[in-house]
Amino acid sequence: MQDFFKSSRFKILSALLVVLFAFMLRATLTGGASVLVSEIFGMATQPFVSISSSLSKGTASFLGSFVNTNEISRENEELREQVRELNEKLAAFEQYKHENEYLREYLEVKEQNPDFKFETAEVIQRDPNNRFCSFMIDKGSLSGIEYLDPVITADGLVGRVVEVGYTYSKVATILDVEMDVGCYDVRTRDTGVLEGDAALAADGMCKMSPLPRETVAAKGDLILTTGIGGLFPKDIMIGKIQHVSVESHGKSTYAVVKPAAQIATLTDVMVITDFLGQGGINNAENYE
Amino acid sequence: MYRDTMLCSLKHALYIGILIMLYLLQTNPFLFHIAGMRPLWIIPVVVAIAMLEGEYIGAFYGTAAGVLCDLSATKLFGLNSVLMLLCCAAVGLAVIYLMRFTTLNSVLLTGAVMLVKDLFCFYFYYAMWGYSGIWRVFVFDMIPELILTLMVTPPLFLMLTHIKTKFDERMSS
Repeated sequence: MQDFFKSSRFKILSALLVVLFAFMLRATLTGGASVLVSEIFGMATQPFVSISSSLSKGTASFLGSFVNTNEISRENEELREQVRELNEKLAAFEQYKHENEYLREYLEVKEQNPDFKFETAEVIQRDPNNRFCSFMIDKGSLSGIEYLDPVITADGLVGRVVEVGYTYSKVATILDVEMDVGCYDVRTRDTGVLEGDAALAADGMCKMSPLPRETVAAKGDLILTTGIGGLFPKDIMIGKIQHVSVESHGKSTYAVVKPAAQIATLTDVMVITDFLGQGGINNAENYE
Repeated sequence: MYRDTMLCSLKHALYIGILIMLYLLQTNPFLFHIAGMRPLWIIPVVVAIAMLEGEYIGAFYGTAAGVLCDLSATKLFGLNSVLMLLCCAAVGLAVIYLMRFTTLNSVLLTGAVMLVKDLFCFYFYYAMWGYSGIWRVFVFDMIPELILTLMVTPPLFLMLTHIKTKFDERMSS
């Protein structure tokens, strides 16, 4: 054993260890910027990963139609029920829309359409056994994606970019305990912060808190982003409240929110590379 | 001499090929999983390589496996690389000085490496930040992952031992 510690091999391994430590420290300092080693390995493995992902996606899709017949049938029933409910809501919506347009004209408020710029991407890798469902996509800085860009699907908010390489990016989802999203209840206008919770993440849900103790938020309420802070655009769908409970300290309540996006089984996402009010905090700091 | 170098290079190319294939299997969103959980295929491979090839080469393969683990994770880059370098060097030394070269020991060493890796990752990624109920990540994610990884260790160890033996036979002949 003594020979090993005196050998040149030990010195080489020690040097390698120091280099890895240096990269790790740089990673902590640079935040979302991918470090050199990560970049090299990422670019080297990305073609294999993309091919493997595409092949297995096709196979899984083909086999899945045979294996998941019962599930598809059940899902079909649920979707029919949802369509019926949505038709009812659509009738009400048309009425509200007409009323709303009238009020807008009256108040001469110019309707502002958010000027989103999207980049579509495919999920090519998942962090194995990560209950927060983080994943890697096949687009990076070469496609205009930047650190902290929001990631969504047509259904709703998924998460945000936490690391960017040239040809890939890593996405942390709203189930992650590190994630905080400003949000509000559409019906009651209660605001709060949506955050990941280790226990709820196992069931694909997250927590909105703190809500006032006397809140009337209830199951089925829609939760949208507030857009405060400039990290996420305003009024992006997050999900629906499953239930509201009182915190253990008894001073406030929290809502358990089921995300609208199917986070655990996503295959394609959209990254919002630009939106009105993006980076609000940083812009404000620069301004000051 | 030239033939031996070629065979040695071929052996390492095969090791790297196996490592990349298993990495794809491990991280592919659509492939193999048991009740939503997957084994970390590349850890038993690099532990077996460290047992077969010694602490020096083992440490390099361990570093590569660590970098791949870091690549698929959304957490701090580099922690897995550092841990796997140290663990695989320790595995190589343990087999040289302390332990016999058996399948059971490969399972024990893989378990030890996984446990060290998981404990450090759990502490630095989650526990030290004080998230509530975060112990669930260790109990319900990391422990099942460890058990699954131990289950796939013996076939991987035997496969790599077979590859090493065949190449050694050819080189000695």
